[in-house]
Amino acid sequence: VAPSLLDLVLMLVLGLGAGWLGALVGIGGGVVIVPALALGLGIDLRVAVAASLVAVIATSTAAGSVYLGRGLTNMRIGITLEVATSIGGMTGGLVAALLPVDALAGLFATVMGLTAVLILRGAAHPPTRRVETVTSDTPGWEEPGTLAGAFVDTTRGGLVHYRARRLWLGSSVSLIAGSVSGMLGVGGGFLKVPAMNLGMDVPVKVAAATSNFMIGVTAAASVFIYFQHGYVEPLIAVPVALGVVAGSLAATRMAGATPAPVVKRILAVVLAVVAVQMALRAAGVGFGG
Amino acid sequence: VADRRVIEASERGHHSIQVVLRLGLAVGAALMAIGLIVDLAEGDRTLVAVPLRSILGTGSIGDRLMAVGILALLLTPVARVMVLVGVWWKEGDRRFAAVGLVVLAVLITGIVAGLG
Repeated sequence: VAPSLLDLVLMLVLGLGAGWLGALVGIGGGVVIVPALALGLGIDLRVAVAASLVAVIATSTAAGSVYLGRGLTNMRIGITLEVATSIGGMTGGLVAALLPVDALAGLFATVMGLTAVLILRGAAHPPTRRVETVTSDTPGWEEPGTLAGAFVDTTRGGLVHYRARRLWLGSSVSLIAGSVSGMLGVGGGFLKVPAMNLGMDVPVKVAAATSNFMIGVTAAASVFIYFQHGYVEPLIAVPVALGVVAGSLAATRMAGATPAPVVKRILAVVLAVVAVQMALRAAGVGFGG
Repeated sequence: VADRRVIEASERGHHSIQVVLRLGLAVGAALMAIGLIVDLAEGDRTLVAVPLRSILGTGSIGDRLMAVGILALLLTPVARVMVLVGVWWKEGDRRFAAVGLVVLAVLITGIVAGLG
């Protein structure tokens, strides 16, 4: 069915909201985009997943440049974890093409519920590292040959050094996050950020920026498989992607973009409600395709 | 206090990737926006699935422009990894250049799988 002009406007607004919320709350927009397209606009779930993967790459590309400028992204940590994540992403894309749509919907409902819980709990280490006096004008840097670096923490007003530990733990979670991303079109940041922060001892700001760097590469590992199967429909993917670019750029450029706890709570409740709706549809009515 | 050379090398790496990201985003978003406008101007809102193999031979002009824009955006992460491998190799950080090559190999496998 050809989308109406109103549908296209709604997709653009959806992308805008998902990009903005994603950057603000620290989740990929996919967890909002896929159910909104599938449940709200009645689009085939796999076409929605493909559109979401394009949007995830758009978010990562748009916001990535800003985070790099702030010296928060550690590309060495990102690429190292990406070995597991990209393998997971490609495998997830291949598996998704074989799974029944209702099984994918059920899995998505589970992931949405988990995301809601993690958003509410705010899974992050309180900052405990020593803050040093800033001695150069650079906002942050990576140490060559290691998984270490430093960044200027504007909230705490000083330079913070860090070194990633327990790579095996980060890689294991990244493999799962990559598979989920490839199957369901989400970024997987809701798993990667806590894994890096709680598991690998990476400061949460660096973990969030590095996760943003990673999600684009992870999505690229599976999106071409969706392309091959004809699930990339430009008239659906493009309005969402353009909206996401505008939304994520606006959010990352906002000064002090820390969301009020009430925004997080509202998002978590919405995700939980939609997760139940998605689970019911998976069990009963189904998505077609 | 970090070595000034370490900071400068890190800044060069970050800057190179910023250029790739901005270029990919600008080209991809511009083509997608123009394609969408062309489609809307022609009143064509037919849904067309564009396979990777026949990206320039499927659908209207607007669909093709949008598909090429999407492809430009999707190739940005691949270009990002390629540039990183080059930057780290040039810096002498062979260890991470090798890790980047492994990721690049996975991405290329995904593209080949996409070409069927």
